[in-house]
Amino acid sequence: MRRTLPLVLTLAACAEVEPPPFCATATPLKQPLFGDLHVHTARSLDAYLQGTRVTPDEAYAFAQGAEVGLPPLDDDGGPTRTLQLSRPLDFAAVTDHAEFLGTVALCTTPGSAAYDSSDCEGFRERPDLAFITINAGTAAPIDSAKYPDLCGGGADDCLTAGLDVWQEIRDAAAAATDPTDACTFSGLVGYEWSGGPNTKNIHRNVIFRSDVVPDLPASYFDVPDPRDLWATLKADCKDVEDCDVLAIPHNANLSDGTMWGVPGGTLTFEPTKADARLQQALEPAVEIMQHKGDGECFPGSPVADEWCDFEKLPYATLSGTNLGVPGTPKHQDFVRDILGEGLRYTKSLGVNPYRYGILASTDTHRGTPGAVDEKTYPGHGGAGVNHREEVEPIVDDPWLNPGGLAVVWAVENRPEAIFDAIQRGETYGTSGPRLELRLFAGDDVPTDLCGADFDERGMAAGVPMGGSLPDGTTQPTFAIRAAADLGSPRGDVGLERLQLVKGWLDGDTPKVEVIDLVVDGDTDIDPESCERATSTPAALCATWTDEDYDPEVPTFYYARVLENPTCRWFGHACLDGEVDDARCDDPTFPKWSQERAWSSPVWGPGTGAIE
Amino acid sequence: MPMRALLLVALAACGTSEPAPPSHASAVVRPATPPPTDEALLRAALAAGWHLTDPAIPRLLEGKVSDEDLNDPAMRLALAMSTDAVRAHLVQRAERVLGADPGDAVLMAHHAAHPERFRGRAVLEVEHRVWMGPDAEDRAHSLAPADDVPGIPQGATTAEALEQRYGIDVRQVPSGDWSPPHRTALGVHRVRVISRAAGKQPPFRDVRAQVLADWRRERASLTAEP
Repeated sequence: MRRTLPLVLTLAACAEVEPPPFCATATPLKQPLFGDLHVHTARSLDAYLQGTRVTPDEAYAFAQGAEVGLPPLDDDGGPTRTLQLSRPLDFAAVTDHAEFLGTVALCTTPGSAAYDSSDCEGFRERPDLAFITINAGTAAPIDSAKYPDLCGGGADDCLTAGLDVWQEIRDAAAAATDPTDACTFSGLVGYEWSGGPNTKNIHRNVIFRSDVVPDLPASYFDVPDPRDLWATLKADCKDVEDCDVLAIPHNANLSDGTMWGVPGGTLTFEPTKADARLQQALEPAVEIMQHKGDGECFPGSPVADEWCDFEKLPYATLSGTNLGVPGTPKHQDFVRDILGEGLRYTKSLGVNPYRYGILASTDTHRGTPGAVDEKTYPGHGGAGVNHREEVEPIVDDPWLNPGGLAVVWAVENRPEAIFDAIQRGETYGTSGPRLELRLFAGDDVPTDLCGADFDERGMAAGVPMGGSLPDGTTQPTFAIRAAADLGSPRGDVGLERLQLVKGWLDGDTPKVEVIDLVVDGDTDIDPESCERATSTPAALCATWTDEDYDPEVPTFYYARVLENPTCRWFGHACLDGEVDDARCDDPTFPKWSQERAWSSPVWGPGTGAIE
Repeated sequence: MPMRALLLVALAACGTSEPAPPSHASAVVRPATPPPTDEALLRAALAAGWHLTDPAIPRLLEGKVSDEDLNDPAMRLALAMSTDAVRAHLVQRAERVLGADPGDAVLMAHHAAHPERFRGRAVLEVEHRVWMGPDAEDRAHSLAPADDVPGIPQGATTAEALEQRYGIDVRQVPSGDWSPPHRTALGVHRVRVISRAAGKQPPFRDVRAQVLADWRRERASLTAEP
């Protein structure tokens, strides 16, 4: 005893001790928390120029149920419309464009160093033109990205002015976080790195774990190469005590093949092993859906999947949304393809740069996190319809949509717990409704798990979404449960089908199979009235065992659940007489859809996780 | 005049009933948009509820706005430090600092004056049952054995969370009692409130950020009133 006690004590001291939960509402079984991690306010240049005057403070208040004002603005600059969530969110992050925090402040503050410059006069007097001219800086090629001239030599004026704005954003997140043990809301500090060389969108949302953050965001003008962004985030935060950070690639459907290194794409660099390690460490999740469309899968790539025909944009770059420049969507921009490419890179590099979890958000440019209701949708601005001076006949481009929500399975509602859930991939995205989706996988997952104690027995027997099947797995069983959104202002909408998507590497070729686990809903809907047939079933649950499992073949699995059909905002607008008949009768503009949720993948062995 | 002295002069106007006269009569650098006057600073300071006796004033002077902050942009603009443009910059900085954080003394007073705004929500310990099938209403009414429905959270929660997720209102349900039957697409729900812990009143240091946000909102709404 005398000899072993010191060793025991030493080991105990080395073990990482999990601090006890802070919240009275904490649960070891974890809870689904609904939020929005892509939110622009008046501190974003494009949002401000479109008439958005909602501050970061007000955006967080909106997420918790407060009303905000929306443009058009009246003669005194006040809002003429209002919006309020019917249900508060659990968390949110304001992610204003890092590139112009100081620019907006300088051009809107009389007496500032640049207030009287011609650029700032244009900003105030010709916002439509400034939207193109100043904002176009983010579309400069990587080798010529720079701050606007109005920022002065070395961009010092903008950087100095940006300090106060960044402090305001940090303060707003801290003030929004519930400090009591009821833990009703978490505000996370964040920003958007907004590189879009040649209008090809490779934006990333940067999210911090706590209020320990760098002095200023790293913008596209500071670090125009994504590899430098990761290196900067590592040096300025990950390597700093009490600071931690992650980046979430924007829905890549408008990157024209440049977000990821996919054959046929045009990524500006071929990842090395070091790049891949850094990318996996910094980018644990991807945005699968938002205001500018769905990015899960491209119809026909790599397999036929009729359910991929959902919220697709018909163009491939930001020029398509902002300037009407036609283009052709690229299958290389979709998550399903990129998960397969990650397996391919694992084979060549030994590390998977694209080992992503799944999230969705809105990308609202109105300071309205979580405004995803189709019936009351007022438009999100940004790439959509502007309402600066007057309410347009239609609130948005018919291709666009209100966006989705980010969901995390966390022990408690605290910023750190939410961040940690994203890091481990225990997350999913929804196209808007508050669907509940849970998944466990492993050899020991009982095939009767749907019968009773799903959460308790599932956690004990398997790994959750985002987890890795352990070495030695021989024939994993997947247990998946989905529950409908029961508190929606739409009324209850039943679930139509529950699916599992399996992807693997066949030689050097990524393959995919879509498996229907349960089909039990009703797809009837009358788009002329938005009437639907049924609101059931309210829950679906299934288990499935992969009898073809081969531990030598790199494989991933993710779940997808679809609601019964409901009307899109465009269908409601047609019903309300807000859209001319010709557009409403145009079959290329969908009037209904099947809302859905996508889980993060479960990963098989050999899928390139870093230690 | 040194910058700190200039700032002091400008702030000193907060304690007087009349605005201080402009410090300089030199030509305005950009006549189309004249820089803010000392009167503007006075208005901002008064709107923020500041007085010269406020303990944050020295902090403001000592730490928040340095000569260097103001000198650098002035030098870049090739301006003398006494020009209106520099003074305007100073005013702008002072206004921001004044509006950004009034200091602990003001915030503690605000916290003490409005304790109800910073109290946490009540945490409930609940049992949540669901009955399904054609006779669900009757079975729920009689509290017959419920169905086993995966994913129904039990234990600690808040009344707000139950309302948001299921539309169940337990605010008026006494501890120990069951809520009335409530139908969703899932089935008929009833919730028993086992216990109810009143919302906690956290100390000022734990809610400082919320107090600051509330103070700002209140100030904004007060200054917006005619």
